[in-house]
Amino acid sequence: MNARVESHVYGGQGTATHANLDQFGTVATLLNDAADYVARTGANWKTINLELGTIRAKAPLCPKLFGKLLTASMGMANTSDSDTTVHVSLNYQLVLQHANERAEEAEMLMKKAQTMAEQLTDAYSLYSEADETARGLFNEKIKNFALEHPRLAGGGLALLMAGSTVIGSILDGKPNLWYLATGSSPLHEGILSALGQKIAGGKDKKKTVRDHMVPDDGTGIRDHMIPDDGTLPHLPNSASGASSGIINDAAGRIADRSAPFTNALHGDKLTVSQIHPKKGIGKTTSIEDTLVNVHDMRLNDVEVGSIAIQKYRRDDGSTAWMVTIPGTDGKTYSPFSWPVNIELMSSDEQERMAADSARMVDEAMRQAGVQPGDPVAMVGHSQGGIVAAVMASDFTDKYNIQHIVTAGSPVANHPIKEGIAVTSIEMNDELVSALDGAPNPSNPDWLTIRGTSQSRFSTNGTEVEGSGNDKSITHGMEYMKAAYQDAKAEGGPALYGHEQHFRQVINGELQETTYWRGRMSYK
Amino acid sequence: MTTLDQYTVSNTFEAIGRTGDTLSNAVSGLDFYNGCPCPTVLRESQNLIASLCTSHANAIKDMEDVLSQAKALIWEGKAGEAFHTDVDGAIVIAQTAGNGATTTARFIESPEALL
Repeated sequence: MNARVESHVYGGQGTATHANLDQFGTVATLLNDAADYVARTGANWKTINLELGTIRAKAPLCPKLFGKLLTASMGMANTSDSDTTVHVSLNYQLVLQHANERAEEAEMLMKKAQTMAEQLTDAYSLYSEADETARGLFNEKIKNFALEHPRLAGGGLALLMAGSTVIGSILDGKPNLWYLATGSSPLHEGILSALGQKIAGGKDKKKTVRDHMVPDDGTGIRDHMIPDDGTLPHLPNSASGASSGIINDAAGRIADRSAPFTNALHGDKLTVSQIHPKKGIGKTTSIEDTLVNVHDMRLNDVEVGSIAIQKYRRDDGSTAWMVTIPGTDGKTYSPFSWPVNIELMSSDEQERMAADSARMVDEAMRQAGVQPGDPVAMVGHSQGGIVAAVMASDFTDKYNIQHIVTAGSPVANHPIKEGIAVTSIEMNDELVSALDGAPNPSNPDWLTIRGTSQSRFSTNGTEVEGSGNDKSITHGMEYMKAAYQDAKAEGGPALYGHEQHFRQVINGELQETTYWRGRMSYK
Repeated sequence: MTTLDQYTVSNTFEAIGRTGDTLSNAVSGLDFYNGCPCPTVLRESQNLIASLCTSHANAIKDMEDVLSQAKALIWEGKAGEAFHTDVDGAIVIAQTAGNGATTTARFIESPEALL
């Protein structure tokens, strides 16, 4: 039985303006209110017999209302009144039949309205801002607690990991260490943030992106970010373009020491050359395609350390580009080796730009012929997503990057330039995307699809193809694709807006797909 | 979330609480020599049903207004299509319920409603 994933969408109001976002919330509330009103009248119909009974009691001796038997037994049958007065009565049987029909109609309408209100609330993630704010506050509390009581925090984390593993293993019927990350997932960002602060040197040196994103009025919606004209708003994806999180400060400190070691290990000379794999990737027309393609780079055994660049001819004659970047391959001769991740995560722009994989993508794009004005979209899994974020942060003078898609990448603190759309897909218990120690910024440009692993035997959400019977690492592209599919099935303007934006960037005929391989050497 | 059953239970408790009213009505109704109060019972019962028909129609009208707002929402994709299908279905139910209220209002004033 395959695993299942259920997703929630945060941020990225896409084509929705503030006005119609409000409208969605208003309609959901109105539907609930109207359902309540209908429910009250339905209940009144259901209990009308009690009200009628109270009124009916006013004529206890009426032979028509209560039958001749009752009045006769009370000695009333022979009164003059009983002979001359015309008694009247409702046909209560028919009246109650009408009442039941009205009650049934009311109940049906109430249920339908409540279901629709739920659909709206779910699909539009109306409360996602509040969720994200709560998550940020929770992370902050965990971080502060871990800094003040590191042993207790470590013990608590270990306890959660052990408990989750034991329960998961019992359910699986055999030991499975992947559950280590599942039970402890709510603590990952907070603990990692504390660790980052410890490494970075105690106090927060810089404000994080998130610090700047929290609205002053506490509403969760930032008015200044959403223009009234319905266009895709442009706003900074980070506060100043230079700020980054403490995790990135810590990564910078580590990278200062690790980069020379990495260079010594496999050399600093980068060679990028075109390759021709037997089987490559297909045309990209949607965000979903980008996820399939970045996965296919691995499934089709395209050489390690390689990326794909697709050239599209747009209707207006201009050229657009799609860059597909797989994740860490762990080979020392590849620019996508493990230690490079640290440099890519650095808060230092120069350090990020000098990372082997970022240099490799830059060089491949240059060789492929990407011109400064050409619209570019990028997708990356894991390290590939961090590279895409680095390109969208630090290479915007050189390339016209308009949309990046990241899957399982810790990019919350990268100073991505304003106006660039970011679609991020993450899993709650994959650990890797939590390495930034913070939730992604939630704004119209940045949409995050957060998948949650469903418990065993659950039928909720979307099936993860090929995941098999056992719990496995959820950082894989199978999970990322399922998380996206689940969000897409839900619909909603945020996702639709990002899909539309992505299509507008590419929007043309595929001219060619070229593959580029990077190799590291000493000279 | 509100359910109709919650209101039904609360209405029932309210009715039980008014048992005194029922008894008091019954006692005053024993004064048979002033004539049988059944025409009053009929009128009050008809008024009660009629007022319920009015509030039912108002609730349905409110719902129809909200449904027309829901119908105007732009929502693409499968879930959006499903939502709009639900809205259309709810509009039909609301129309049926509205007609039902009118039918009951007419019925209660008609000879058919009497024994």
